[in-house]
Amino acid sequence: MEFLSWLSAIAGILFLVIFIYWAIDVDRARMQTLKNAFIGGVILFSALFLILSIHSLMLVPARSGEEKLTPQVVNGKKVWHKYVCIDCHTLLGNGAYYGPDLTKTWDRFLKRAEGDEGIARASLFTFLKNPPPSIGYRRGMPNFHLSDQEINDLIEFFRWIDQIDTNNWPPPPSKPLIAEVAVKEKVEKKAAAEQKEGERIFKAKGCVACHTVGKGRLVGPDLKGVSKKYSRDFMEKWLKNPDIIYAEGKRKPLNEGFPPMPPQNLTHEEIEHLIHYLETL
Amino acid sequence: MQSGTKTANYYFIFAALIFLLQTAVFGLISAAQFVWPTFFFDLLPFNITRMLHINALVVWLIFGFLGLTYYLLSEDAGGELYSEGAAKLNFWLFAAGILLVVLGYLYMGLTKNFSPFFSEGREYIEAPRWADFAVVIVMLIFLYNALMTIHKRIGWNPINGILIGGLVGLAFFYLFGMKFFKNMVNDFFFWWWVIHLWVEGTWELIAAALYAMLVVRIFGYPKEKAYKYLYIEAGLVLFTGILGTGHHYYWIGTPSYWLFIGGFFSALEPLPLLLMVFDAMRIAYREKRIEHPNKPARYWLIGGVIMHFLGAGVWGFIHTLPQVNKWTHGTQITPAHGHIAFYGAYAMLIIAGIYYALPRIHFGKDEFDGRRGLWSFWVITIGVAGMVLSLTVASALQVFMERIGGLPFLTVQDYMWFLYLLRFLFGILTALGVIIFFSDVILPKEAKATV
Repeated sequence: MEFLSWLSAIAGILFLVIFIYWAIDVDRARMQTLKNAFIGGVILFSALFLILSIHSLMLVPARSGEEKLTPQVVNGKKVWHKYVCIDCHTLLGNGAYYGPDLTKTWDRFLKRAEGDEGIARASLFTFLKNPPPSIGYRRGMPNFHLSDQEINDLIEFFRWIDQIDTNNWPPPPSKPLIAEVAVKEKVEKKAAAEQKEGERIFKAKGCVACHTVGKGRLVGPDLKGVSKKYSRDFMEKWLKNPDIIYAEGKRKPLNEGFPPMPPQNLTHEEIEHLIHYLETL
Repeated sequence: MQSGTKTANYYFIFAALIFLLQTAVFGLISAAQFVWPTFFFDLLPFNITRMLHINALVVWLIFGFLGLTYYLLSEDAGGELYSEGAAKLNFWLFAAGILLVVLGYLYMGLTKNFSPFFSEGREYIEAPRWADFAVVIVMLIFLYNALMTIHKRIGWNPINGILIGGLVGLAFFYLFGMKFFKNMVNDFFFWWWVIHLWVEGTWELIAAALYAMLVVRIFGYPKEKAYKYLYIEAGLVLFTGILGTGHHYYWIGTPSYWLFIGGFFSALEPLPLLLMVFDAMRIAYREKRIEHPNKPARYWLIGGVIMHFLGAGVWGFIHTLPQVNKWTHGTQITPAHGHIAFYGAYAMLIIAGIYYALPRIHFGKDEFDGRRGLWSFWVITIGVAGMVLSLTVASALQVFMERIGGLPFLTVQDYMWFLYLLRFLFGILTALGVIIFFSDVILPKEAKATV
């Protein structure tokens, strides 16, 4: 078809040049010539279009995976039409722009399910059973009260759409920096908040009475770099109840004559925050 | 002076009414749902209001085409059509069919009883199958009447030949929307035969022919020259437009050679539109053919040529190349282009035709009070331009943040909120203009008597 493509392009240029030439000096062109060129051109380009169309349609079954086009997929397509999905969403980029494009729906859910088809199917099912309603200025999707059968058909339809050879559309983001930065910022913000909370607990619970950070041993040991010495599990266990470790590990208090570290009665959450804080030291 | 058939006025009034509903009711509700998603949403969800919005567009444009064709042909035929009765029957059948379809949509939206009996659920051609057959019958009556009017009373010439060619094409390509395809790729493939070969093929033929008829009447353009220009214009539009269909076959599962063909031919598509602008400028400024007293008709006609080039030519071109379209496909750039292109290419032309016919039908002369015509021209044009610019900026945000940057759809939509608000405000302006236009179509005012 490459030959035909180039032929079309050359014919296009040729006709364009001739017609523009006539347009510039319209008096010189004869009516009959114009008429013949018009009719000839329409026939020529229609014929080219028809040949290319027929050839394309012959390739569509292979490119769209028609062997996977089960009756259930066809039923799913009917569901797609029945609820006029296309007047909110786009499919293969065609439709309305109120909701997101649904070409890669199956792919999105499969990725979130880390490749587990069962989980992807179940979560897509839940989504379609109870679509998220609008919150404030955020758009929502109405609940169309689809039957279980309709939902399953629709899922098969999306699964089939996903595998069509679309010449790699939609393309992966070419500069995904924006997304990465956003995610990174979110993580950092969360970490910072936890660290702050941890520091607050560290002071409020009176840890500073016995421990320093980087200023040497006081009653208990200096906690600088404590997370490098002990595992997370160990710290968690320790903070929950130091007595157990004293007993199990036959440990003794660091400073002779001082009492061992007493249990602090910390909640699970407080321990989490404390560990986050300790990890930054 | 030979005035045309009064039956055409039915078509004009109905077209203007649907135009009013399209913009001031369904358009505004849809636009508001972008800004305040809960607005009216439980009553009529977006897919219903949007369906009504775009279907109303198609319907009123077709009504405009039919009405103008009837009117202009009847003028050439000595004041009457081959069959006035058929023209009336044609009108009532079509109008009743539309009413039933709209009632079906509303019933479906309000009660949430979705069913293929009320809608096929395919964009732009949502009308159910039974309505498709009604449309075919209506078009056959219309074509028969128009053909016989030309054949018996006027005689063929290039303009009415191309006009009929376009109208037959409109009916013919509609047939490709009447089949159910199991394969979604084939579905979209032939869906574009309806949509693209309408708006960038047969409708362009109709529009070019109607434009030629109006230019001859309003600007006193020599017929012989108009014939030649029409062949050139119609030829260029079709030569680029037919294979330009390829720009819809980039990503729907069709082979990759369409990337080249579609890109190549759609890059050429603005040329004939630019040529038309030069032509119109020559008529209006260099040759100064501005003696015709109907100022609104002149404004709408020349303005239409310019907006046609901007909308279909420039706004089409900015996202038509596959290298660009890969990123912009399915974003707000499409509605931005859609609004200005439909307005410039078809709406303005039909309004120009209606304004030309209006005083002749009502007062039997060309003079009338054209102030509302000029007001509506500026108000609607500014309204549409504002909406289009808002959506264009919104689409730029969407392309960069969602497509290139990879942020989630809804996150990006938050950033576009203000632009949707702007679009809504300009939509109100547009609707106001349409109200002015509608009032003029129903009750045009006679010119103040000059001493």
